[in-house]
Amino acid sequence: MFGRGRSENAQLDFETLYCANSDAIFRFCYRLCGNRTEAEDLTQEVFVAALEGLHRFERRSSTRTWLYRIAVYRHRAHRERHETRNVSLQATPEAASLGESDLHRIVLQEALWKLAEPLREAFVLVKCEGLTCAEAANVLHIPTGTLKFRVHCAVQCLRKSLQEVPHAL
Amino acid sequence: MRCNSIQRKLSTWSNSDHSAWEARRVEAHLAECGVCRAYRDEVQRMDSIAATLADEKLHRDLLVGMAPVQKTLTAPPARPFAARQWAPLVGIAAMLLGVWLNASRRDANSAAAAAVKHMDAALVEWAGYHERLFQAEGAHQEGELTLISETWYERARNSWRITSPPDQGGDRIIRDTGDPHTALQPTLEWVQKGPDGRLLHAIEVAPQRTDPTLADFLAKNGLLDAAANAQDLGRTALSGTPAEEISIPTYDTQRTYVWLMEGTDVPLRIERQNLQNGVWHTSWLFTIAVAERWPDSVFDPATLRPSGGIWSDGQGTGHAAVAAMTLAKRQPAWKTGNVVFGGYLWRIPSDVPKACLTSDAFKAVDAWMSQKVARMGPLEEFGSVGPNISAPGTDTTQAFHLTFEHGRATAMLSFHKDADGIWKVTGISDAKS
Repeated sequence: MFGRGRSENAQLDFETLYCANSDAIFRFCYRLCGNRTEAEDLTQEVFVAALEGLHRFERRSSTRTWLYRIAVYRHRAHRERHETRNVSLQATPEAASLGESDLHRIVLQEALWKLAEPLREAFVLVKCEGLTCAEAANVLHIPTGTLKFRVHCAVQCLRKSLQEVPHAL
Repeated sequence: MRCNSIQRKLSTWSNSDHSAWEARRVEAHLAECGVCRAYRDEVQRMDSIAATLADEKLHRDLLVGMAPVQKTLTAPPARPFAARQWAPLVGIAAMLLGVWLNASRRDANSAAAAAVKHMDAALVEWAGYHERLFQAEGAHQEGELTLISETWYERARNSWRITSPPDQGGDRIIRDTGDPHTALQPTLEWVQKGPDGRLLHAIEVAPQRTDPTLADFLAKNGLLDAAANAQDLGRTALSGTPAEEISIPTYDTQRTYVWLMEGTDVPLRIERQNLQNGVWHTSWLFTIAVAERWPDSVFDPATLRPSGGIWSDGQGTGHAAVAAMTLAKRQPAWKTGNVVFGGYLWRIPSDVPKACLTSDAFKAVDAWMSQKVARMGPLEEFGSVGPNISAPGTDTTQAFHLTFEHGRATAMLSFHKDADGIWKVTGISDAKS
C-alpha cells in the first residue's frame, strides 16, 4: 500500500550492486593481491565499505569505477597492516603438464606481483580490467599522463620477464 | 618522432583516445621502424595474456557474511517517544532549513560551475592553440620533437601545489595552480640555441594573442602585478643569480622542482624527475628566460633565430623553453604566414584572405597552393624557417617548409606591414635552393 520502505530499497539497491559487480571486484582484488583468501576478504571489505557509503555516492563516476577505487584504497590499507607480502600462487601444475599459454600466464603473474604497487595497480586496471587510461586515472586519482607513464613502466618490466620465456612474446 | 616516444604511446595505445593526426604519425613511424613494430606486437601479446590473468570467479557468497552489517546499516533509526511528539515541528524546521541551505548551495554551485566551465573553455582553447602550434613547428624542427600537448588539458585539470621545501617552512603553500608545466608552457615561442645545442635564450613574441599567456597566468595567480611589472620585467635579463629552489611533492615516482627568480615568485626553471631503479632522472626541463625588450622589431635577427621549443637531447631528456614577457609591439611576419598555411592545413579557408594584403595577393597564394596540392596531395605540415624574418622596416620575406602528402616544397612568402603595423602577405614563390 505504501510501497517499499526506504531501508528495504537501500537493501535491494545494494544487492543489485553486489550481484552486478562482485565477480569483477573479486577478480580485481585477486589480481592485485595474488591470494584467493585475501582477495575474498578484500572483496567483502569493499562491499561493506560500499554499503556504508552508498548513500553518499554521488554517481559522478560509474559504480564500477567507484568500487575499484574503494578496492585500491582497501588493498593499500591491507598492505600497510601486513607489511610482508603474502603471495600464494595458485597450485602450480607440474611443468610437464603445462601448456605454453599457462606458462606465459604464470610468468606474467609472478612478474606482476614483483612490480611496485603503483605500477601494478595501473597495469591491472588498464591491461587486465580493460579500463581506458582516463577511467583508470580516475580510479587512482592521478593525471592520465602519470597513469600512462606507470603502465608504460610496468609494460617495460613485464616485457623483460616474458622475454626470458621462449615464444612468450 | 623518436622510438622512445612511440613506444610510450604504444604501451597504452589500445586504452587511449588518439587524434587522427597522432594516429597518422604513429602509423607512419611504424611503417618505417621494425623495432617499434615488434614492440607493438609484443605489447599486444602481453595484453592478451594479461586479460586472462587470474580470471577467477567468486566462490563464496559474501552477502551472507555481510547480512548483519547490512541489517544494522539499513535499519531505520529508533526514535524515542518524546521525539515523535515534536516530529511535525522538527520536520517543518528541517524543511525550511533545507530550502535555505539548498538556495545558498545552489548559488554557490552555480558560481562554481560557471567558474569551472569558464576554465574548461579556456583550457580547451589553450590546448587546441598549442597543439596547432606544435603541429606547425614539428615540420621544421631541427632535432627531434616530442609532442606533449596531448596531456596538457588533462594535466591542467589537476591542481598542483607549489610548496616550499621542508627546511624552509615545510608545507607553506605558495600557490595552487594548474600543472605548472601546462600553466607555463603556452608562452613558448622562440628559442635560441647555442652551438652545443643548449638553450641560450627564449622570447615570447605574442603581444596580440588572445589565449592565456604566461603574463596572464602569473597575474591571475597573484605572482605578478602585470601592470606594474610589465616594463621592468621585460628588461630583466637572466643574470645567473641563484634562484630559490622549491619542490612540488607529487607522486612517489615523480618529483618536480621549480626555481624562482631571486626575491620573487616568478618561476625560471621547472624540472620534473622520475624515479627509475632507485635513481632520479630528469624527464622534463623547462627553462623560462626573461627576455630583453627590443625597441621596435620583435627580435634581433642577428642573434636570434626561430626554432621549435621542445626538443630532446638524445639522452631521453626532453627540453622545452618557455618564455617570459617581452614587450614586442607587433606580431611577427611568420605568424601571418602561419595563418596562411594553417588555413590550408586546418581547413580554415576564410583565414587566408584575411592574412593577405590584397585580393590579388590572395589569388596568387591560392593559385600557388592549388598547383602544389594538385601535384603532391593535401598539405600535412608546415613551419617557418630561416633567420631573415620580421626585420625592422616595412617589407620582409620568410621561408616556409611545407610537407604535402606526396612531397615537400619550400615557399617564400613576402610581407608588407600595413597601415596598422600588421604584416600581410603580398606574394608567394618557390624558394631558391
